Amino acid sequence: MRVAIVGAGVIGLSTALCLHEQYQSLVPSLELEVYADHYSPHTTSDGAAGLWQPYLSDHGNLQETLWNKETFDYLLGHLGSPAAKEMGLFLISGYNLFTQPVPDPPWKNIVLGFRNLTPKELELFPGYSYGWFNTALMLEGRSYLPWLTNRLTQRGVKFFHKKVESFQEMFAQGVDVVINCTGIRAGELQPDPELQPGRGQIIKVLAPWVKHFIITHDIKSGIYNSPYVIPGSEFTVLGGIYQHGNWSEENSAQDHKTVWENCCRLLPALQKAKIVGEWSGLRPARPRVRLERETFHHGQLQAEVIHNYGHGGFGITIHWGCAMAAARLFGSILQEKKLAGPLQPRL
Amino acid sequence: MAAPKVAVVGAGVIGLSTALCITEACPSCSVTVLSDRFSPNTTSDVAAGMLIPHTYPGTPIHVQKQWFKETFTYLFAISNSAEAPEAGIHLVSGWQVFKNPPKEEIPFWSDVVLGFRPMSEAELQKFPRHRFGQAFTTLKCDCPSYLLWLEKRLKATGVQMHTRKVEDLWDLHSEYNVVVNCAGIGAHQLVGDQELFPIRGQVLKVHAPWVKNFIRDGDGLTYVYPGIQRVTLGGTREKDIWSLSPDPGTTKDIFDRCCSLEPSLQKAQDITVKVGLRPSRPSVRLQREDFSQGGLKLAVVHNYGHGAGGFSVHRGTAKEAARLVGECIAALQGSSSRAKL
Repeated sequence: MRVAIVGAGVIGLSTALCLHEQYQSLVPSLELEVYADHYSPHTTSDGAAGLWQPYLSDHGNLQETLWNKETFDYLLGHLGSPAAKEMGLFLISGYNLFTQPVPDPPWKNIVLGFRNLTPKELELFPGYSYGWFNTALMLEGRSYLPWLTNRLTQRGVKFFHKKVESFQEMFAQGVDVVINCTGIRAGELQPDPELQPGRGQIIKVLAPWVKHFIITHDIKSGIYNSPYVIPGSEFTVLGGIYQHGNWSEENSAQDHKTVWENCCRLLPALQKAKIVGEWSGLRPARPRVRLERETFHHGQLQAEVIHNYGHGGFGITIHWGCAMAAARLFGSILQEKKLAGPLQPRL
Repeated sequence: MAAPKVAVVGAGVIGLSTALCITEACPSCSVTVLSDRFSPNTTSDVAAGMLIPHTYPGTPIHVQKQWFKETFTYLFAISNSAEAPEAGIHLVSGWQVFKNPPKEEIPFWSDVVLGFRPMSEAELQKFPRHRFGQAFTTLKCDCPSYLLWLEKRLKATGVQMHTRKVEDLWDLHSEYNVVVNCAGIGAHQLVGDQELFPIRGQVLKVHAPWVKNFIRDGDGLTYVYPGIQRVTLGGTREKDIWSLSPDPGTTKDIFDRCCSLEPSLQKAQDITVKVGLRPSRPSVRLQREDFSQGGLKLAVVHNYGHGAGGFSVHRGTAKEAARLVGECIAALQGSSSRAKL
């Protein structure tokens, strides 16, 4: 059985690993292949700071909250393992700041030590009158993606540097199941008006004295359009841009100014930070994640696509829960094929 | 009396912060810092500089709390300003964990640090050998940076700094009106204080920039303190041991103990080893002493013996020492005007 994963960001690689871990021993003929035109460090996942934190509300989408929890618990379990550093995984504490009281988020019991900020803590952040403190996780894409790639390579998964133009192209080659993890460019394989870019721009600085993440929120301007500071293992990410519908991956001088001024106002010490890079990326935004099967008829054969894209700005946060859900969908495909008899021979 | 001349002996965190407080309290004073060692060769340079107080059995708790609060407030303001990176001051959050619940679950300083609360069950799961813990946010001083920053501020106000080994405080009586003794462990020899003894501490400084939270075992022996460029791993508390040479067996032991608290430290790089002698005493010696010999006088203010808690209370004790210096000067001016009658 040939399975092609299209896309090598955090979603593609983790889904590949999850599938291989669960089904390799059950399906000896399983052949997994990864196809992508961009690999780390050139994926959207590489540009993300890597902080595990969902949006403030799940809009009643309990399934996404469960996938977030699954991911957090899975990563927490790996914290003490020797692989943690190589994965780019570590604990981090920090602040979410608001200009008015807000309801607790659906993930308050998923993270560690969630609590409201005390008045003295709020003195650190003039202009903000309410906030949360909690300990969460960082999973840095530029370490995690190579780690996933190594695990997959060890397991014999093959990688191809290729832009896939259509699902049909894969089926014609004899692929039985395509896992569509193409992120922001899923629309090129199948039009999806619900998928839109949420353009972000970040500045990378050296500010090793910053040990906490600080995420501000402005209910009026919307998620990620308010300054945030996220310290990584090698540099600190300054951000605060979310432009819905903007496809440009060029850095904008205006956005640089917005991010820099807002973050320096939030943390005056940042004025002394050395700028070491800048990056723009397109969050693959969708009202909900598209995680579902689609059956195609390719001549006499039935071929399957499992879609797993549209994770917006919370791909890292939700990735493992989605990978597990995709694996369950794959399991049901296997069940159906078993019921239909042995795998149809290639003619 | 012409501008009073004050000598501060010692250039660790206590000496430098005391000199600074004196210039703030007495702008007309001429202040000179004398020391045989300056940063990076002081005891302070070895310390991690975490603001977690040490309890002095001989000092009333309300006094210790006042010192800590003053120090915390002072550094908190710096940490929130553009000076923070240069001064080496930053906030850090983390956990103090106990194998057995401590006698005092809420220490006297719990309302001075930020967000103090007991650890949740979920948080304690990260520490399977520990049954109780406290979570809070406090400040850390990057010691060499902080000392350099203090030196810079002192020079800007005209304070002179000289490398000089003072063998006897009395030697200074002809040049200075007041001498402030911030000699730390050096006071053992300088003033023959038998109550002062070293508690040797060995620490490792490692490169592990993914460690963002501190972890301290409540026994005070094992700790992981992430600083600006390095993480300090500790440590030891060896009473009456004067050796400043790193011990390799101790290094391995510290590393193993810290890795059991934070397994990812196995991947730490660039390990350097340092040793410092905590200038320990049942209480901080913070008092005036009037020296006199053959009709000649020297006003002395002692400010030493901060043991494991120097950074935590430095500003509070420096301010008190400066106040005592003010008293000495007032007394000298009073007696000199009496002499004119």
